[in-house]
Amino acid sequence: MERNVKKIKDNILTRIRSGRVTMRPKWHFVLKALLAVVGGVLLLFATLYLISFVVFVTRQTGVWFGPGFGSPGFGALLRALPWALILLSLLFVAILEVLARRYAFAYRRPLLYSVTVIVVIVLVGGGLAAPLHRTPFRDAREHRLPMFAERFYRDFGPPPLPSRELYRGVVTELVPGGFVLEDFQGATSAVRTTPRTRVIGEKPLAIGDEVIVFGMSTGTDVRAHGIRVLPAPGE
Amino acid sequence: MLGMHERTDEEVARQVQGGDTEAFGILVERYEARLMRYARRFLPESADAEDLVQETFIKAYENIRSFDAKRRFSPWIYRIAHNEFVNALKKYLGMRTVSLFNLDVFLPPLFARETADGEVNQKELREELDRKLGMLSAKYREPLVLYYYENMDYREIADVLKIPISTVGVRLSRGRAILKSMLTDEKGGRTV
Repeated sequence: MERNVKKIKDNILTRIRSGRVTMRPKWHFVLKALLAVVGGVLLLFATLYLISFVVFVTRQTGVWFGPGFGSPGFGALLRALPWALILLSLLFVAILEVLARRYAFAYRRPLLYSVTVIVVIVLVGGGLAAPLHRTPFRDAREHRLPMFAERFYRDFGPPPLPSRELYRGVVTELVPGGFVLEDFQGATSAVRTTPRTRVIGEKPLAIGDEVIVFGMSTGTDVRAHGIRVLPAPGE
Repeated sequence: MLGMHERTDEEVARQVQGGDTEAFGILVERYEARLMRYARRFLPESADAEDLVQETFIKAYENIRSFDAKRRFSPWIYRIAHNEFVNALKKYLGMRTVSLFNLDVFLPPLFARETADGEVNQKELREELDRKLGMLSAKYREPLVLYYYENMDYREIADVLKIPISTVGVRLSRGRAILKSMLTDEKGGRTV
């Protein structure tokens, strides 16, 4: 055994002395750690951006309120969610978890704890940051954003009309058999009600009411299955 | 002033980081037997333990400047050894070690954590370990080797394997339970 120790030690020291094995410089590890931290921070901000965008779009377009119309509304919510962005966010969360597990504070505890902390941070942070997207959405509509940004807000914004099932906006005009709805982007839709339309609200519809409409576009107007009147701010 | 051989591992490592490459020989002397024992217990007989331990020391030297001398050296070099051994198991021996997703890493243990020894007869356990260790999967074999042969505590084992401290306890308990069931089977159903 002692001979073995000497043999291994001699082999290693010979390789070191001959220069075949060298120490990596300190800056190599400092740079690596710095890249991991910077990468992690950028990834966290990217995740917060995506989550806040999803929250903003789903709330502003009325998709968020789908479950209030029962299981058909819940189905409409699932169909309207920007799944590509949600899956991308999940991927980012997974990468953040892998980065976090390099450190003792993360790997010494069950994975569930660190995953929970990351998910809570991105959901709470994303929810709080959601209103920040109001201005870029407006700028995208007015063509004041760079092309790629405008494209992003347009492509992942409200679902296109023929397939849209949930609408959020303000009643701007009452007409026989329905009303005109203007959404947060300034687009208007003619909403038709029928005797089977379910209206959720305490008072009859009035101009200025903010509503969520669950219905299908017929090409010229929206046939409402359900309407929910949102409480005015402060109520 | 302390002679080189009276210095702690961390002090010697700091010396190596400063450019004293010959000091690395002291760390090799101190850890070679331990790492060989770890390799022989953890790896199958067909593995070239000597070659892998040599590669472990080479990797340790190359990366010595990443070692934080304020921390303990032992878990750091054992971590390097663990990585070398696991890679060898996968690459050359085609063996699965631990699957990517394990419930015992993801979830906290459902029951109160027992100590690894409990009411186990230590002498009998060591005898069984010597005989049956190779029959256990790597997932349970490695923590048992580090605990019973390398005398590491839960925290050190967690640092070497990069798993939760609670998972170390769970795997030690399960490894012991599997050994106990092997012992029971061997003795024809008579428990000892």
